[in-house]
Amino acid sequence: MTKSSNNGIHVSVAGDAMSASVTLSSDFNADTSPAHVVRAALEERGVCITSQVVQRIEELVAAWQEDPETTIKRDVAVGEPPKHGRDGRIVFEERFAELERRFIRPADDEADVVHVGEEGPDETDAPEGDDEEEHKAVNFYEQSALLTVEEGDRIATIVEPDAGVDGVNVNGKMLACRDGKPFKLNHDASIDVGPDGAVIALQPGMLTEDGGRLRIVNELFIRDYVDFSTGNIDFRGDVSINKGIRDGFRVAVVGNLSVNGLVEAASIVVDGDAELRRGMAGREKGDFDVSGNLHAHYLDSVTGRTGKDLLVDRELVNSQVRIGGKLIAPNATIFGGAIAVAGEGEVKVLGSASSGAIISIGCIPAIDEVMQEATEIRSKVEEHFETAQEKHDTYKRLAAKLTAAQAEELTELVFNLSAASDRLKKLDSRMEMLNSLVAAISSVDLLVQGVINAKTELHVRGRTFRFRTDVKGPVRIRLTETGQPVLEDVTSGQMTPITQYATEQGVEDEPLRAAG
Amino acid sequence: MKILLVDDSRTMRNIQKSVLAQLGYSEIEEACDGQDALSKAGAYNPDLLLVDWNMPNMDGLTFVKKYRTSDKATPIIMVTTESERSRVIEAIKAGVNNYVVKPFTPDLLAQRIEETLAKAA
Repeated sequence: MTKSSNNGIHVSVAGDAMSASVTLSSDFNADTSPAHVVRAALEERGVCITSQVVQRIEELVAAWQEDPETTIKRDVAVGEPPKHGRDGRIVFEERFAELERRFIRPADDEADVVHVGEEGPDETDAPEGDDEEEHKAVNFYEQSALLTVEEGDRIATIVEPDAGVDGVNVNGKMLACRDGKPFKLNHDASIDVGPDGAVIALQPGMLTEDGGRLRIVNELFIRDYVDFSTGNIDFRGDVSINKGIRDGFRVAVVGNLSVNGLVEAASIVVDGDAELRRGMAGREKGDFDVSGNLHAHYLDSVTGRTGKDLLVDRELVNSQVRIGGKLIAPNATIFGGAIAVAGEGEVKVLGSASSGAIISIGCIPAIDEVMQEATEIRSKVEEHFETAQEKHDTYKRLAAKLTAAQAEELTELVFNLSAASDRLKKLDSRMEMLNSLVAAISSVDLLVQGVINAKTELHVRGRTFRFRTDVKGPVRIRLTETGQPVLEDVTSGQMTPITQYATEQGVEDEPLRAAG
Repeated sequence: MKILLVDDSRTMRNIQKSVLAQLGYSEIEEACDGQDALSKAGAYNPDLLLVDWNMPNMDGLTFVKKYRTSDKATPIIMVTTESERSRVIEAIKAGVNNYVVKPFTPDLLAQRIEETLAKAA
């Protein structure tokens, strides 16, 4: 700061020339034109006299004239600092906001820089907690930590930089501003930046930032467990989980899934193949729906379906599983639960000493479901049919004495009976067609390498057999040309009717009958 | 083939429509009594009429008599609960071509429709 003093007037200019002040003391004596004297003193110091400066000089002089015995000091000139333009930047959509900090450039002098169009924080605008929002129940399972996107999703917007505004000091010297720099997004071909700055996903997958590069990957690798740290997984692509899947979580994958660790009572939906390297312990709550092949070390107390083959290394225990393809488990034991397999099968042991196994072979689970539904519908239609038939018969007996209304009701009954009968015929014909289809595309061929334990229940082509004794393998369960289920000794090729070891449900036991 | 169904019971008309559909006839107009039928028959110009006897406003027999004053050729089947011989004769005299007594089976109605149309052809 520089000062000058003369006859009770002191002019002081700040070192950066951004302000100039004038002090008038009791010694100041300018009877005719004090304002003129002050102005001259400022001009002498190089201060540019603007209309604002003139007004402040007048205010200073008026104050001094009111009380000339008191020393008065006032800033009479203030410079305008330059306003630098704000750099261009990327503003992510709310759900991707966590990525934003990775794209903000460090700026050491950020605090000292004034940006164009930037307002300071306004206390009154600070977001206040919304009571209703705060108390809303949160499903932490659904709080996925993965930044998944669909094709066409808007990820972010690139904001253009602002131009700066020059400043000026009290001497009238222009202070040059700096314009903001444009933001350039480093991205790969999975992302597009439109002319309006819209950052758009060009493919589904997981949004990721790697070394400052934004991209969408269609393979997801989870380093740890699927748990509260990840939330449920719903991913269009392949997913690889380094550890396991915790209780209650859901993993839905449009692609293949591999899990290195244990899958607990979780839910798995996979469009492709799945590999559960340590297996799945569902505790009767876990379930899976795998459209392709499923390879599991073991499955315990789970419910599920595979569209293609099921490969089990060790055990398939207390589980309800429908297999659309083959059952490949040459070293595995199956006990408890119920297994339905459409294609061929190979297992080591069926049932255990304490508990049997229910196994259906040569059935197509999806068709079986339809057939079961059709059978239920048929039985309901038949019930209605019988009721209507009884009413019809009663009316018929009274035919001569029927009123007009009863005659019309009987006509309606006859019509409904006829329609129901037609429908039943159609249903029967379609069920027969489906049965033929199942027979044509499914396979009754189950190779048991070790033993079939007693209590094992076998369902084949609508018939149920319960084993009375253990059968030592290797044996193959298959059908003869006439459709009779037999056990074929794999070593000798000898075939024995299955009824020799098992009792057919609903049919009198032949050996017992023979003995009796 | 255009067919006019005249019956005050929607259920009966639906049953008749269903039987006609199975026979391959789908161009069907409906009337809920004799008066309604008279107002529709002129413009619709049916090729066959199925007429109930007992209906409100105008019964089937009255309708047939009035209809026959202007159209003596289009076949009419009376579908009714009136089964007494005298009633049947009365209907035939009024100009009815065939007669179906309720209750009827879908097969019987189909058979009567086909034989009536065959005779009219």
